[in-house]
Amino acid sequence: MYDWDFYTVLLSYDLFLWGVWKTFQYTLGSILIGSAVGLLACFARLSRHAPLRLLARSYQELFRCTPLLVQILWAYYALPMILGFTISNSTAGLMILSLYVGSFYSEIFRGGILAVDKGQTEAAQAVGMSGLQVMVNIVLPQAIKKMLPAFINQSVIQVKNTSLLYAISVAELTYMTSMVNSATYRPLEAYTLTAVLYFALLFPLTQVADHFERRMRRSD
Amino acid sequence: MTSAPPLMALIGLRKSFGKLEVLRGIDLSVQPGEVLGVIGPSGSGKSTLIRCMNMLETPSGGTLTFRGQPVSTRFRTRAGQIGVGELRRHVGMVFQHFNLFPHLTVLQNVTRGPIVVNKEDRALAEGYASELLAQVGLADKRDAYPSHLSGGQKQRVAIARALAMRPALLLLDEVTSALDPELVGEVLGVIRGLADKGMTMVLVTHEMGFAADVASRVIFMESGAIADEGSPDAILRNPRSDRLRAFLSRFHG
Repeated sequence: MYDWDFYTVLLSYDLFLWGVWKTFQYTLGSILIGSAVGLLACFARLSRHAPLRLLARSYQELFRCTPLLVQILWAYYALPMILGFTISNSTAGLMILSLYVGSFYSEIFRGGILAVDKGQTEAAQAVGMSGLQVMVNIVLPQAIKKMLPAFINQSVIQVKNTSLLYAISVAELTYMTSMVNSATYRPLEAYTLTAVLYFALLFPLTQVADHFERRMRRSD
Repeated sequence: MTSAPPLMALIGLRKSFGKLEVLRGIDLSVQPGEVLGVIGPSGSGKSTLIRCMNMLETPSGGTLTFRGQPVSTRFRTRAGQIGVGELRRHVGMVFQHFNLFPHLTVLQNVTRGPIVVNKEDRALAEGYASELLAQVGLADKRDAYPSHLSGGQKQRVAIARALAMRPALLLLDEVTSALDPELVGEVLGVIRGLADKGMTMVLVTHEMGFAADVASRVIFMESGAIADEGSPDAILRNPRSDRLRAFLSRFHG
């Protein structure tokens, strides 16, 4: 019978808390930057200018079709050799996480916008709205509702993807757990606790998201 | 018929979709106060014609003028050329499939244009919208969402939405074609009321009886051209051409 000893592991509660805090920061930061990047890429894809479309398409495919772990390692170990100066692991980590999630967000945004009926745009144009006014008042509010489930899903994945920063020693939750493990030799307790912490972080998030989605469906 | 300068004029207006020529040089003017009925078989270019009148379709050739000034393809008005944005502020449109904004209440559907486009004060816009909703018989639905309305109610809201911009010309594109038969009457009643008040309208319709009743002039379109034109009496009750007679006979069963 295995002798469970969470006490030893919990003595390092400050390390776990620090890890949770960092994981939260990288998640929030990359979701914010990724949304901005995703929005830009989305409008570039919908643009009339072919070079812009091509640029956005190239970005999307580059980041969607290579593994995130490879991107993280490449940005931290390989990119500095091209640039001629080093990048801190936190900068490389945040940058890649943002660009990665942005490439998925851009497709989610684009799908949401294209799913809004063309008649909506025409009706808004017919009262004299400009392109921007149509987008802000009529298309985006409906597109957001359509894209919300996919956006939340991608963001939940993003919380978990921050754990890959472990590979470049960013002090997020998974990396901190490995440190506790090395100090206590209690992998079962340490990694079980971390799994519980990730769950505790994400479960409320999915519930809040469900709530908002229900509220936004009020007009249906 | 020589009279006041036209509100809108189409001069040699053409529209092609790829190789398909849908409008083959239309000459037409709309006088203030008249109700122009547009009839014709499917594919004759009626909808394309009315959609060119507010530039939802960009003509491939010819000229569109509004109050004597040419309309440009740019959004903004510049140097004697009316922009598309300004044209649409004065030319309202009601669509076959209503196209109400599903995320907005009935009241918001009606006020969004005046508030966003004309920068109208919210309270004033809501006051006028309430009047219009009462006029189309939907004062009690102002806080409902479109999904809770019948087709006839949706179309009456769409008419109020177009009227909220205080248009000089109202375009109606087969506005009863998507309605259940028993709901057609309530929408036609609203349009008749507008005609009685002197609203200038262009009405693409398959309701021949209604066109005969409410239009002051009717054009018959065929293959992208105006094949016949005249008073409702001349066109609908005493058709001169065989093709017009053949077309009309399908509606009398």
